[in-house]
Amino acid sequence: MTIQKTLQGSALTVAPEGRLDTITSPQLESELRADMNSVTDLVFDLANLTYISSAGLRVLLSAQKAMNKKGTMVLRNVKPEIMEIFEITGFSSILTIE
Amino acid sequence: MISIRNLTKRFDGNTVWENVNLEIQKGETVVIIGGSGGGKSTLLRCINRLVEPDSGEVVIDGVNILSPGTDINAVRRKMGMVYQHFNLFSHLSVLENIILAPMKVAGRSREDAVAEAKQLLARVGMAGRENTNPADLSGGQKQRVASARTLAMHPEIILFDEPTSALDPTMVDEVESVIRSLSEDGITGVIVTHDLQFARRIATRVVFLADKGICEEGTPEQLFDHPTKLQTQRFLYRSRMFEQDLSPETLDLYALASELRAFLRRYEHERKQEKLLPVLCDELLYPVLKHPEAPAAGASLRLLCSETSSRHTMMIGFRGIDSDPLEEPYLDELNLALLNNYAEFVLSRKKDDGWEVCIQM
Repeated sequence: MTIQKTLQGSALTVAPEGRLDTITSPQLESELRADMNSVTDLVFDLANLTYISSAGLRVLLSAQKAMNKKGTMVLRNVKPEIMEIFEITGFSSILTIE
Repeated sequence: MISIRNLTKRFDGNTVWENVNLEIQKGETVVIIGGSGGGKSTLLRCINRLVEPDSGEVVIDGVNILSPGTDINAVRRKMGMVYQHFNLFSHLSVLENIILAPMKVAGRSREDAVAEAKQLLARVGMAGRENTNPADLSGGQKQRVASARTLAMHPEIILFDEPTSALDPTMVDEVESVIRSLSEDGITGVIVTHDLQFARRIATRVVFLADKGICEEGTPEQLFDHPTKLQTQRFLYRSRMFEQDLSPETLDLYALASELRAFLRRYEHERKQEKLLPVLCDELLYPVLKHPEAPAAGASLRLLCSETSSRHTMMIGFRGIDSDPLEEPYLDELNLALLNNYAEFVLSRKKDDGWEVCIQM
């Protein structure tokens, strides 16, 4: 998977493309870890995310927990098939989806 | 006991089968198999004239039931029929379902009918469920009540139309043991099924219907292990099963998911079933085979596709694990929520060398 990152000051936009699954989630996790210290506004642009597994959900959850302490996190452009998974797992009520 | 002679059936000018000849002796359990649309159920229904054949004879105990003068109701009283979807009366209790025909048709007293119904329920393992509503029973239980209802009329012959196809695979056993006990009591059974494993276990004789007639017949061993006709061989060996052995070292989830998808697409299926495949890889196979402390030594995966419906079954045998793979430390709530959403149901059971997970798609 490719992950586009745009860092402007303390605002980070992350746009993973393709599948966020067991294999690719560690990649997102390490990309986030690299920048998290300085970030206060975290945006996930999921326009090109086609699939998410529990491993991907766990990465989003731990990012959410980290941001709860020091800023905000929002998800944008969530496709219906990803939204379906957020709803099945109850993540739609934990995450801020715009 | 049942003699089918030169029987022919056409629908709208199309021949379903023609010149079918079949002799069934008392106490036999004859299973009719064949591809969908081959007229298995039609043939079964000619035996009690629910379907009228175009020509030929069906002789039961010396009586040609197709003759104009035949009292078909008298003939049908000797025969019971058990259906795929059980056809229990949903507004009646289990007991009332069973005593209805003995009282209304056979004219027996309520007391007598109830006493026998209780015995029959005990026989099919449903004692004490007299007042239950059919809606509260599992598929296997409904099918056993349906069998008890049929037995209440003391049939000499029972016709079973796909008795296991609406059942979860785990419930086939219980229905099978009921059918087996009937044949031990000398009741003649004729069964239509697409479940070849079930056919093999239950039949005294198997009849393979293809090419507008009986293509081949024999004992289960003869027909399944040594089929002589090319048609039979094609039918039996046409691959309905996807099989792969998985090991933690070489696990390639993307390749597996795409192979499974390609296989599934050859059969009737639903969008949700395709979605299950990556979920299965991410939420079950990976957590168990790649568990950091106690990974399974390996797994055998089998996807068995149905020829006749979009109900497909996957069995995954995990080797070398001591605890239930559907529980911690392998799977947590999140894994299960996703699996359960895309599967009809997911079950696990202990086996000699590990655990088996059965997924109904």
